[in-house]
Amino acid sequence: MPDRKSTSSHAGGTARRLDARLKVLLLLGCSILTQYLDGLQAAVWLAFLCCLFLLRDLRTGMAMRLFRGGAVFAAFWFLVQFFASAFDGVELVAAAEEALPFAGRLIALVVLGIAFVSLTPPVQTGKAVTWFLTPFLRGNAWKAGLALALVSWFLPNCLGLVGKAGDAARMRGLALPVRTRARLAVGAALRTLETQADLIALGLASRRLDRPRVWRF
Amino acid sequence: MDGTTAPAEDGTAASEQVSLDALRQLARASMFAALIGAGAFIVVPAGPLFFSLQTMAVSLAGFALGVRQGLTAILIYLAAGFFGLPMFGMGKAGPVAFMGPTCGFFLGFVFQTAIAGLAHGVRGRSRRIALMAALGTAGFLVMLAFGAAGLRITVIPTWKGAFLAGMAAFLPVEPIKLLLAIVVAEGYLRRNPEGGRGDA
Repeated sequence: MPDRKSTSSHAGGTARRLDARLKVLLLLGCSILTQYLDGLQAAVWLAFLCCLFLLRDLRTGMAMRLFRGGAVFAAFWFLVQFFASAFDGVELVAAAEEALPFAGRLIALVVLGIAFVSLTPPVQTGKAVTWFLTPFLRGNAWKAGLALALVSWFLPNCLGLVGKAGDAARMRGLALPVRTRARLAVGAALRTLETQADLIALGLASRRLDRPRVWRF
Repeated sequence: MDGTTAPAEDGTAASEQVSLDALRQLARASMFAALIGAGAFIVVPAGPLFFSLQTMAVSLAGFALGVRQGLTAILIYLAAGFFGLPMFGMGKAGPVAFMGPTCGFFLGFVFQTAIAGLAHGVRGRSRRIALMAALGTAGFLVMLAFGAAGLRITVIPTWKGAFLAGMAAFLPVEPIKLLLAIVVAEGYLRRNPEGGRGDA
């Protein structure tokens, strides 16, 4: 009998291999379902979704960071709704009962998103996007898929560059105001990214990734 | 980067290829989409308040790329977020942003970019900066109005509460972000006089 770790890995592998189009549809369907759940239903659904964290693919540092952020997001909007209702004259217990399922639904949506990102490679997502958008964008749908793949490359680069620019200013011991540092960091990141974008355009053309057939299933 | 079309050696139909210039524009729009996404994760302290650079990056995309390319960037950003990339800050990924309390802000981003983009391509530095300030402010206000409406629909039971949480709370820091966006956009336009092309 396989142990729990390998079962998780096997299940994760199966989920990874699943058609990305199906995963997108599942994500959308589950997200819509989540919106219609209330009270106990939402709690049971959330508990079921949290079982996804048994998969090894969802226990990565990035997924955990996203989950922590999502939990903060849900807690923040729970408090906003709670205090808004309380200021509106609703009893505290009733206000909490109103806000709690809302926060639960938000966390459920966050977990769904994390599961999708962790179990679907960006290129597969790009191809799925191309497939879904083809009826609307026709011949240009593949550009949306390509753009999505590019964004997944640019996003971590961008964060890294801003961080490095800030580190450089700190190491040089510059006592600059926070706003000046933000301007310098964003400006420096943008200059580097411009060059990278141009090089990427050349790279895409040379690797023949600028053709629709590459982005089709 | 001469804007010419790469030759098709693999039998690909000429109509299927795009020019290097079009590819470069797509890469730049994707770059700005990523910058908007990254802006959500960069938090800057301003006195007792903290703010993220996301809405600054939205204005910046409009100023630097113009209406058409700016809208392309914001639509790429929204599509990337919708299809699960962690673009929305605070760990949000997937359709949560379009169903949750921040849905109005995301719709507002589209209008903010379009309004800011009207300042792109204006000749004369001082005239352009004045227009950026005016249109940037208008864009921010429209975006915040959409955000407040989104909050009213999803979380906050009264319009007054939604206005306080969705607009008034952000007003003190928005001018700082706008100033940052203008300064960075001016640098970008100095390096790229043709800007986002298309509607320049």
